[in-house]
Amino acid sequence: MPFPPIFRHPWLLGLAGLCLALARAVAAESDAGVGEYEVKAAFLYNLTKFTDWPPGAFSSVTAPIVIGIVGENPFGNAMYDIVRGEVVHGRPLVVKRMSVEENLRVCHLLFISRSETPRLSAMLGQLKGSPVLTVSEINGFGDQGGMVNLVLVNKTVKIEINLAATEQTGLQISAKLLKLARVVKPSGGRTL
Amino acid sequence: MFVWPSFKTGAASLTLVLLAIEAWAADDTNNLARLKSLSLEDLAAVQVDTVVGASKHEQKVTEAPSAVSIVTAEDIRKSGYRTMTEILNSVRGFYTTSDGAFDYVGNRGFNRPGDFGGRFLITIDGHRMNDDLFGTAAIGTDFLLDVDLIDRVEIIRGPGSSLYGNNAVFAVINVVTRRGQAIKGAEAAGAYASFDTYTGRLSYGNRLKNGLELVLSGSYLDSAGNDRVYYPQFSNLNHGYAEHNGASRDPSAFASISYGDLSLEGGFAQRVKTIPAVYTDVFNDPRGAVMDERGFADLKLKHHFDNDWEMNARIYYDHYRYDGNYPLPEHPYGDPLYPGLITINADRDHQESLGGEAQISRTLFEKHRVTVGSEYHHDFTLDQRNFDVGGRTYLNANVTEDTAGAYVQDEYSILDPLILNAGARYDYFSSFGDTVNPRVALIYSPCANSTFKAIYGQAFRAPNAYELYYVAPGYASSQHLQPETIHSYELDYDQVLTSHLRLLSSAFYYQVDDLIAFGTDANGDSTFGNLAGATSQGGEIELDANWAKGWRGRLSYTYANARDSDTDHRLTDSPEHLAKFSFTAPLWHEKVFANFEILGMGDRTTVQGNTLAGHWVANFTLLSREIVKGLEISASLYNVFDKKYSDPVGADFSADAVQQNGRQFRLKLTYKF
Repeated sequence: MPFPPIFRHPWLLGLAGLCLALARAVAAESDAGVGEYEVKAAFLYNLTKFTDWPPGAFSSVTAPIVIGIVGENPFGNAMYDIVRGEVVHGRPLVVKRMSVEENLRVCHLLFISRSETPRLSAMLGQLKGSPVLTVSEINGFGDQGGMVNLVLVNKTVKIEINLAATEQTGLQISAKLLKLARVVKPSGGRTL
Repeated sequence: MFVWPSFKTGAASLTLVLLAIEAWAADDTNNLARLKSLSLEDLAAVQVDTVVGASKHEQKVTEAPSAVSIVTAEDIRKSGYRTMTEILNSVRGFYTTSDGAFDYVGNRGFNRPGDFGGRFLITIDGHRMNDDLFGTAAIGTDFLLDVDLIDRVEIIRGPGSSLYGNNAVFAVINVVTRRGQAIKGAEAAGAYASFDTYTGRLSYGNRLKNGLELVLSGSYLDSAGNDRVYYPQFSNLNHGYAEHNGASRDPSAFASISYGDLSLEGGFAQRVKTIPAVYTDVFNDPRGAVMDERGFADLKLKHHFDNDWEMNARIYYDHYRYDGNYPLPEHPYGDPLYPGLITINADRDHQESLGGEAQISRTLFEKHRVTVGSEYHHDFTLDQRNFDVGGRTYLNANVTEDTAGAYVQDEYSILDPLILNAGARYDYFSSFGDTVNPRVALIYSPCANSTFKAIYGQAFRAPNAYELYYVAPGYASSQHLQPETIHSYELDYDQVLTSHLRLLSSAFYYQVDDLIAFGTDANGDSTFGNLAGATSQGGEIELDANWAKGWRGRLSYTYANARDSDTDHRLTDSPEHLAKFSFTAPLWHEKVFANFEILGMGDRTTVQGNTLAGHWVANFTLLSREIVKGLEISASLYNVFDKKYSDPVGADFSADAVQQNGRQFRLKLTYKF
């Protein structure tokens, strides 16, 4: 059976379909297995469950827990999808994309993206003393005064917690979470 | 009866179908819902999608200095892949060729018939499977591992010699085995397939409370082979039908045990297979058979030190035996109908080797991830014998060989979206001397969804023991052989289009020099020499769609123009076009899945200069899980439309091409308890 002279044309049609698909580009994450950021999003969700904010951190009894993401958003839709419909400590969860110029203290949990590495110390200095749980995935985040770092070790996500930083702001991390995390003591001279 | 439309309308309608489904498909929240419900401990144990082989450490696929494809255990079960051959055949740009006894893999237009396929490095959990006699790693039923034990296959395209040394020319294929923790208990599997093929497996895997992880598995295959292969040149004997074609037996075993930083892994497989009639000119003689026996043991130690040093060390042992019995006619170029007094010519080859590798890596100056490693390998047995049973000996070569290598790689995060991955490896072979192979890759991700890669690499294939030491009357030795070298240039562009759709594309240019080929020396003797060269250029494109609940689609096309450098003719067994389509649909509550795969290939030329028409093959698998608790049933049809096609074979075969199998089926049951 002669192979029809198919390949001279049909891939052009496929290409047309491709252009259609390209025109629909919407930022998101997609992976065949479990994506790193799906797991990290689940960790952020769990962080809200296992953290107690000091009184005064919320404006009312029903005020939502604000999860802010500053810098590039590596989660795609995962963060939005995971908090939808969830209630933690009797409060709804809300995800907000923050930009550096905004008042970051409106957030209760702030995820600082890797893209903000050059602005990190300035940002953490700005938040010093505020009950904002700072979370990131930047190497050495804890050393710079950040509170929680999500690190990828052997294909699993692990938590590093700078306990000193959380205690300074009145944030209480549940023992259940501390049991699982690696407690980091910031190297001398750079404690915020 | 289903009538396949012409490919023109086919491709267009397929793409539109993909987009249409994409439009109404539900949100891809399956993973998130599951992750949310996990306890903290379980969440900390979830394994994320990463690849190990591309830089010899865990890294995200998008940051690897290569174009990587991953075939998972789920893919293997849903598509009913029986061998590594079928797994590789499903991957963009790859194709396989079979001569009836062995399968060979080709990529981007390169799969020379008659070569032993030593330009692809296959590893199991990082352990090199290519033997040192022929440089081949088995991919058919002679592959050491039962595919049910595979967790995933990482196909890392492009030159990998800067880390792996020999054989890593066109791709490094790393097979990762399932962990005891993933198996969680005992499994029994049995299948019945065409050609009276029975396969069985018994496995146990678990992770104990104290952290000890264990996998133990044994498998067996028994096949009567295809007893109805028609050879026109033998039409006067048994009406041209060969009855002892590819009957085989294949017991295999695998075990791995790990505790803390230490792990020990090993496997063994022995396959005996009768060879097809075209291997020699004696038709239908059941004494023609080949036996491949492969075993290995690998002891690994890894440790992550507190100051961020990471160390990996291992020592290993390899065993390989090849026995071949070939019935030869009395007069080599006589009439096949009258073979006369048949002699059995025999090959007896044997390899035993030991080796060790040590590697350390660390992040330096915050932006450099540096890996340094070295390897030593000693073949203390490399024996090749060829003789006529009851007659003279033609070849009796017993040698030893030493190889040593040292490599360094730096992954430099120049800026957050820009990574420079550069490395080189120095190798010394006692047979030919030394070679240095670098690789440089620039990886740019302006945003989370786009990745651009520019890669340049060099790789080599060392002359193997067969090429170096083969001597016989009329054949001169070739101990002056140098390695084949390849210079490869590649550009990749990956784009996440929507949360469900991903585009992957590459453009490549390869230049292969000093290709080892058979030629004639000054005295008129046949000998191996670094005589040939080839180039291959082209591009490929793939669309991957992943929706919720297990809906999946994949469409890929590869164009490869591979030519001989001297004659400018297209290489033999090199299709210019490859197209693959695969679709998985959940049929009932995520318990029943249907997978449909179509693999198309353009025409190919043979060694004798003929053209084999292009063809396409369709495969279909129905998988059902947990209908009865713990039971998995799969029913597959391979080559659904019974397409007749042939693969080219090497010059030392009597025929130009070997007809491949028609429609086959397989029914498989797997029980977990």
